[in-house]
Amino acid sequence: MAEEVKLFGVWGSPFSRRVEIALKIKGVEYEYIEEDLANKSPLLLKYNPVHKKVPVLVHNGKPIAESVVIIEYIDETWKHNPILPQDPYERALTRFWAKFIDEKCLPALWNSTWSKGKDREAAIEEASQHLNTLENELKDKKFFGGEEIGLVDIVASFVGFWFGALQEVSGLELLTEEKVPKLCKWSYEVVNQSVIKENLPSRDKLIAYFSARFADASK
Amino acid sequence: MEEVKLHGFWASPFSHKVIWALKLKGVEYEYIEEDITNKSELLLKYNPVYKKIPILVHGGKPIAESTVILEYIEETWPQNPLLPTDAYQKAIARFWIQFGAYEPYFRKFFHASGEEQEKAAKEIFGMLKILEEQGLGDKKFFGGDSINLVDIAHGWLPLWFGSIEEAVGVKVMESTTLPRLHAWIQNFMEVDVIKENLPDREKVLVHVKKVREKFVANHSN
Repeated sequence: MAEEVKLFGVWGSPFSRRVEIALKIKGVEYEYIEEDLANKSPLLLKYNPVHKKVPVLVHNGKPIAESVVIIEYIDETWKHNPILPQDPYERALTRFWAKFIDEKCLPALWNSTWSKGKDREAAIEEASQHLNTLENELKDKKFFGGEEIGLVDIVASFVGFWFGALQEVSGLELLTEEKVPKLCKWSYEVVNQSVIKENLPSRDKLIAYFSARFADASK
Repeated sequence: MEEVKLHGFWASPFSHKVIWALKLKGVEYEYIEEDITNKSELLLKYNPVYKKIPILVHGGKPIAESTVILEYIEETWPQNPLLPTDAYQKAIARFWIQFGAYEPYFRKFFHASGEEQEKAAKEIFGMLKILEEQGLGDKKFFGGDSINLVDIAHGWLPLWFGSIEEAVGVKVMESTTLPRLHAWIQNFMEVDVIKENLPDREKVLVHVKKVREKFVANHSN
């Protein structure tokens, strides 16, 4: 049966890049459609009427939204090179950490860059705590997934890559070797994994984008 | 057979979601009531990241976060499946499980008043409208003829969100404007496992009112 896989994404979005990484791990051929979020295509609105966001995966005409939901679907549909572990308890831990990163870490890291005054102070404090939590969870593992990257590493690529760029722009020093040495080592390892390296946006382009936004926000 | 324990709190909707799933699967478990105002050593040991209930402990291994626990229960005890087996249908179910979860407008609705609360009420209504029209559609339950994890995920609405509506004096879930949701609520509350595993509504209302008073007292200047 001919498989038709399409991915609607945005170049700078960590969420759509996650899905690309998952598809590349599985060696799945797909058509990528770059969306302009200021001018969303009729197809995107048709495939994700509820949230109107990227990423959206369309497999043989059937759309799925929400990055982790999409990745779980990819893992269950193409079973080689597993992204989640097989054991139910290990799967539960994987899901727990992916959720922690998305619901707690990402907002705190994002807000520590963009919010102001007391909100920013609180976000910085929270972000530091969460980075320490991740540092402790990593322990002696090469990756969160063990010897190979897994769902948690893919989701945490925001921390490893995007936040590195954000830090450079904002001047914050949260993800440093002094404060979180294991996490820094991990982010170096993870970003240099070929499947991830080849599927990340250009760091220069991302820094240029964030710098412009940061300049605007400071006015 | 490995021991199953559930650390919960009598008034928590999240605890109850786990109870419903365990009961639907016929899994024997020991329930441990936690005092969340005075957290036990065990709770802090089992959930150091969030320090919250519910926590499921299976053969001594703890799992936290209700949605994570529910997926674990589904994978460990496959009898009476609570998720579709088809990968695409499962993805759709997971989408609706997440929908509306952890939205800031619920907190705002509970804590705020006046214009801010009105705005939150409108956002909640908008979310519930999408849930009933696109999530539920013409089905009796999100799971079809019987309840599944999606029904369980939204199972806090009848009693708990209903109590919040009563406590703040603002009603969002009207049968006239959310007819399908209203029908779902009636059907859901009639399911035996649900009916037999609910806290006392009056007690929950008292609890919810106390929580709100405490918040308002701490935040007024």
